[in-house]
Amino acid sequence: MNIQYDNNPEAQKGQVLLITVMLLAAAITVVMTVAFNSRTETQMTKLEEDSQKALSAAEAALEAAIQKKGRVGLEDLQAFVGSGITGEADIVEREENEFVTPLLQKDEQYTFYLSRYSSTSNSYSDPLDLSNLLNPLTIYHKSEGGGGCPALELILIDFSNNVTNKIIDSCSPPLNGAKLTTSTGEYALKGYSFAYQSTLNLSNMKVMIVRVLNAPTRVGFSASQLRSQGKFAVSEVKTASGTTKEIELFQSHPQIPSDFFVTSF
Amino acid sequence: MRKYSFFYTPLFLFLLLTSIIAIRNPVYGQHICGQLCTFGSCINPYECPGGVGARCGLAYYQCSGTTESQTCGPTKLFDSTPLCNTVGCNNPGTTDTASWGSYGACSVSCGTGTETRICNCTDVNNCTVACVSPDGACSATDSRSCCVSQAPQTKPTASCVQSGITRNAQVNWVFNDTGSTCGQAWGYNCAGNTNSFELRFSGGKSTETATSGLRTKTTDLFSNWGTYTVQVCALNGAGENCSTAVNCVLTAPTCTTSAATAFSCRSTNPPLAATYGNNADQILFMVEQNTSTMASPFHTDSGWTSSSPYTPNLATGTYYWNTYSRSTATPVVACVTPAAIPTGVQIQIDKTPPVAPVGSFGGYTPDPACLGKYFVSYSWPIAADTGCALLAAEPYQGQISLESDYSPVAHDTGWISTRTMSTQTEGISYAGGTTLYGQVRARDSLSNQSGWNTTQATIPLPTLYPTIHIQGTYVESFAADGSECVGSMSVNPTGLDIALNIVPNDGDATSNCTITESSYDCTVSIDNQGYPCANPNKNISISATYEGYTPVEWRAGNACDGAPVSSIPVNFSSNPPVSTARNTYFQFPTGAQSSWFKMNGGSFTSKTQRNNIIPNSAQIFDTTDDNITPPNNKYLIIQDAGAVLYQDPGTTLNLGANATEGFSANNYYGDNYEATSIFSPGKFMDYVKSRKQYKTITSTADIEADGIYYVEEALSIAAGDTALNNKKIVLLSDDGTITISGNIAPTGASLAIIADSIIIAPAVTEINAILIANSIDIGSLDNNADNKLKVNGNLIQLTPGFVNKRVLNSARSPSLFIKVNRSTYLDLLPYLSISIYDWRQIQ
Repeated sequence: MNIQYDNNPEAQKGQVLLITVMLLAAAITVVMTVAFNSRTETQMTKLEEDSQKALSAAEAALEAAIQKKGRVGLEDLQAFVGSGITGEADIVEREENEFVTPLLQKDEQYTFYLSRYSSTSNSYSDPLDLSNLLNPLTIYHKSEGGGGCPALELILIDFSNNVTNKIIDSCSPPLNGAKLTTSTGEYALKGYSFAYQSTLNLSNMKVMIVRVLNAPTRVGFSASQLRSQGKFAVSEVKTASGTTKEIELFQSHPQIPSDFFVTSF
Repeated sequence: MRKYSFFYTPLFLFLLLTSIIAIRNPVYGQHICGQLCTFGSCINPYECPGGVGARCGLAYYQCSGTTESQTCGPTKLFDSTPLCNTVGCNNPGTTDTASWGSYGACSVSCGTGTETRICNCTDVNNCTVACVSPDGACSATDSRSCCVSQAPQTKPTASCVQSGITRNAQVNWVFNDTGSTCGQAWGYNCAGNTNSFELRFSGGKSTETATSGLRTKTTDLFSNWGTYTVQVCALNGAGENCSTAVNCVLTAPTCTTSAATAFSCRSTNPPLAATYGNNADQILFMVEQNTSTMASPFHTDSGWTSSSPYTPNLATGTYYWNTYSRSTATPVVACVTPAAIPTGVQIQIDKTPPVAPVGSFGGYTPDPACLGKYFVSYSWPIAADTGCALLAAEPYQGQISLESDYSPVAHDTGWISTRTMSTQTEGISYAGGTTLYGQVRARDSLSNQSGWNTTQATIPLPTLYPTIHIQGTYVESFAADGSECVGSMSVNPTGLDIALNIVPNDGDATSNCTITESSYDCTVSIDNQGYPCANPNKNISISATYEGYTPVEWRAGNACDGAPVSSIPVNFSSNPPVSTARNTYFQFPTGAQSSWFKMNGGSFTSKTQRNNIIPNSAQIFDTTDDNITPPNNKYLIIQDAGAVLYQDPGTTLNLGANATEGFSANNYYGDNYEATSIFSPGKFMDYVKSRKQYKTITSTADIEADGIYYVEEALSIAAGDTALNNKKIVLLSDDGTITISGNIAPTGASLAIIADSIIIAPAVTEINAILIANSIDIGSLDNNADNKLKVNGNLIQLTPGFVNKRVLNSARSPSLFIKVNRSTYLDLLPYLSISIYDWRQIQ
């Protein structure tokens, strides 16, 4: 194959012109892009500032409500007077049909209240009656972050302080009455998905201590109506520009650390 | 011309010779008288005196009646008697004859002379008669030449001697040969002397040419030895003159041989040797069988030979031999000395070996050093033997081999006099079941060896030793000094490993143990067939392991305090026991290892590798320990047990085989669980400081009400401390030590002690509290106060390494009993708790 080299001076002039046009087009493109981004970022910075201000105001109100253990308005907080940010925070207890624990690390346990607990008197009342087969306590769980098959140790303490132990083992079939039957599926609860579901009929129980075995696990509960598991501090604020922030802090009822609960040595 | 002469010369000579022969041998009657003489027709010149053309042999006429016959004859020569007158003279009664009388004596007594005759007439009938031929008248004479022969005048002088050693006779004679004419030695023969000698002897004669000088004749005249008469006569054809008869004495030559020597019994062909002498130059070795009388044909002989010795090939038997020599000088004759074939001298030949005896194995003698092996004897009967030779002084050779081809030979007696051999002499024994090959052979004194007679036999297998049983029940022993044993121990057969050690054991001994929950039965067998050197004296010891029990042993007298029986001697070969009862003692761990804990309710996570062996005959801690039936069930956790977690290996509980299930029915456990510890007194203190109210105290006296009390350094709680009564208290010390020096059973109180370290005095036996610490010391190892500790609440050591130091005199009971009290937790919930916060942004 022969390669032809063009040594014509006229042809060389055309090539120089083409390169010049291309470099000019590239320079114009870069300048236009920088100008557009600069205007966009200016706008976003403004919104971010409002958002941060709103979030800070919400957190401040929340903190004030926790300390007050009651409602606090932003107008009560000197720092936000005249800021144009409005809103309030309050402490509430909820008895809902569903409850989802935080992600429990392996060997952590969660004290799930099956009756109404008074932190002031350290007393229990109004135990759930979930003895009806059609109205059981449904327990969901799903491991997160690796580990083995999630398993739950359930320690039920009734009003006579009698203890009943149960086990939910998602991987091993039940061997005896202590093991609850586990169903596998896709279960959604309060925005969380769960992989396993077990049901339990109970009544006259103060608490149920759920210990997470094998793997970090999130546990969900559902029933026709559950008892309060703690207090919710809810704060909602709005800036003058219309930016709204709503945050929520859940404080559980007293939790016994598993390291202090399980006999070990 | 020369050719012509050559032709007539032989003719002439022929005629001359013929004439000579005719003269010397006159023939009569061969011609016809009166025929014309022709040359040669009348040989005798007297018959043809007229020469050729005359008539032959004038006829001699004879008359017989009228018949005339003529005959020629020597005495009628020249008879010219006319023909018979047949007329008148032949009349009967007439005797008118005329005939020539006989010639008278010759005029000479020897030699040629004249003889005359007269014509004799008898004229009876007046016949005219005349003699004829020649004609002559009566009384006429007629003469003629005559010749008188003379016999030899000299006698030979003869002598006869034997010609050497032969049977020839040499006759010598002397004859004085003075000539052949009258009066000379040979005399005269008118017909011509034919001088010769004639040797006359009985039975024959021999004519010898007369030669001059001493005459001799050697000849085989006689067919036998003896004395013969020989006479030598000189003959001249006309007469003879014989010598005096002389005797020829032919003496047989003497042939000598040396005396035959007897051959005693021998196995080889005898070299028959003899010397022969005198005249003998050959010898004959003669051999007869079974008889000493030698007679040809012999059993065998050498034939005439000049060599010695002669070695006949003789089979086994009795023979006789001798020799006979001869001379081979011609004529061949046997020597006659001895005159008769001598009597044979004995030869005894034995080439026949004995019959190899039939050996047999037997007499298997156990080898004391190896009872399953045997010294083997191999015997045989007396070998039968024929022949002159007896069995040798050491007539037998026996061999034993492990191979049928006897390669190699294991045992070889060499030649021996005995009829048995034993491997014991070499100290070698053989196992039962071994096939041995034996062979024996015999020989006689002449080394005639028989072939091998082979036998094979298999050594019987020894009787198997009996199988013995060693059996017994299980006994749980608690005190090292044997002061406490509990029988009827029930074991988990799968966890009990019982084996018997059998010493010595080269693989010959086997044991098999059958294990049940309540007893064992071990059989011990010795394969003394497969292991021939199996030692029947065995020392049997037990080797057993069972879930932390050590040792598992036999004890003397089957008694708890019996000394450990290291081994049981058993002799399998003589009255072994059919069974031996041996209870097996399971020594429960002693000392610090004997301590074990038990729980009531709760879950348990093991953080330390431990041996928390539960005895088979476990006893309850106290009446609050267990209220289920049976009360002494062997659970780790009675009542409502939760999860039991441990890691194997790493934090194994090792509850032993006695544990029923380790813990009660409502349980869950994992054997490969690595627990994660998150909280600690320090962290909790941090939490308390930020979230809870607390009060710092230095003694329990500072406790006023329910709450959290912080112990900054150390705190000691004495027995019966009333400051704790009726309060819900959490004593918290993140870095300090809380010492419990006495029992804590506050009235109406709920107590939790959370500290870096908790020390419990050995004397403390009951604590109603939740004990949580990084380390907990519950008592001294040397504590022999038999104080067991009961914790009514909980016991949690957050770090590994907890040791149950409570040692009881009797390990049948747990030394630590933890009754998990959940209500205490609920009572202390405001203090012994944390809160979990979950923050989230909803919008």
